[in-house]
Amino acid sequence: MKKILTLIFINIIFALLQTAFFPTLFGKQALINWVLALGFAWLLVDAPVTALKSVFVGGVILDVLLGTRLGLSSLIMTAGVYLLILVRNYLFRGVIPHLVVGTIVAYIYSLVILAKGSPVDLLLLVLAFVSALISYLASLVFKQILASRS
Amino acid sequence: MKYILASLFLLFLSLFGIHKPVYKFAGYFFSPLQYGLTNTALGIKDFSLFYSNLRSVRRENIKLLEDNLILESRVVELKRLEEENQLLRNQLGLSLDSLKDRPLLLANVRGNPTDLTTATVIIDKGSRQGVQTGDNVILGNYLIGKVTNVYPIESEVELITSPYTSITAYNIDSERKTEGIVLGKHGSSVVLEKILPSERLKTGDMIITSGKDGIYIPGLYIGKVSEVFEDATQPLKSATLQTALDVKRIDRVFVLIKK
Repeated sequence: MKKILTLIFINIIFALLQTAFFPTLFGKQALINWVLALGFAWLLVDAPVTALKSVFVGGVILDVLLGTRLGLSSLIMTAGVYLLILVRNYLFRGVIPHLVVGTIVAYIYSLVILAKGSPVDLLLLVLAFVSALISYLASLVFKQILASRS
Repeated sequence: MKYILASLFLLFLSLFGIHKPVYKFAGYFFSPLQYGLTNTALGIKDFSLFYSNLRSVRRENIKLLEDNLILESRVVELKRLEEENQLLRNQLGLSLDSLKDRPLLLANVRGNPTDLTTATVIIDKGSRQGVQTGDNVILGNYLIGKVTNVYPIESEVELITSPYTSITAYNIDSERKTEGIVLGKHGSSVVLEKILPSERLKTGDMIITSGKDGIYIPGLYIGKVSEVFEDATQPLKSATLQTALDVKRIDRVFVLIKK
């Protein structure tokens, strides 16, 4: 219970930063998806279930904060993390699957949630890749924090 | 997999508008936080923008000051050129026919620090520009003086007010063209001397060079008679002349170069 409350609390903070603070400070392009980065960090410390829980909770909070349809963000990000777990378990590990899945999630997220651009928008794809890259770098930092605490 | 299903379930429920009370309830908690975070971000952004703008404004200011200095120097240069141009036009328009085929050299005038009587000045043209001793110095049709010493890049000019100046001149306003010798009086004025008593001379008569001395070109204007001195005990008359120009205040002159 304590763990899930901690997850909720951290995700609220991250979601608030993601939706209110950083977009105002740096603009709305190529931002870190903090909630997804936290989920990736849980995967990097080999806690896939916690990663799924984290992105689910974070996705719901994001939906609430953004006012989008409830469950949409959590569905995209949970599916993304689930896909990443499968890739890591059955194909290969490393930075590439994180970047690929991160890009896909950021791209779909931009199309569906933020409704920016068309499905064949190249600029949006590049921005999604940049977002995935910096989210992955953030997840490496989170991983260090999580590893030092466990 | 259960989290994906849970997300789908939430999505399904939201189709019936179940999320609306949740959003309303959450709005009470999160809206002030979002508002505060947005304002904080805006504050940070404004702060950084202010400082980055401050640097650029400073740079811009320095650049503008430099540009201003350059422009000011150009304005001064243009004004100088305009003045020079006007002077040349005037000179060309006023020159006597006898001067038209003689080359003129424009020169800047400065004081002569070695001459306390102010009877001479220095001009910024010398032998390298073709100036020779004895060249007449004029402005328009007015006689200013003659070159007495020539150096490579400057020359000394003896003004008509110099006590060493002696010019043969005549009264253009008299029928008999009264002749005399114009002498300088220690840099302050000039006098016309050696006028025969029988000659008629009156205040306001114009005196010009006759050219008989072989130094000054004929026809150059020297000045007007301001006072005539007739003394019965003296065999010759004299007159004080008011020079047409204040020769000490001239800053540009023309040197009549000898061919």
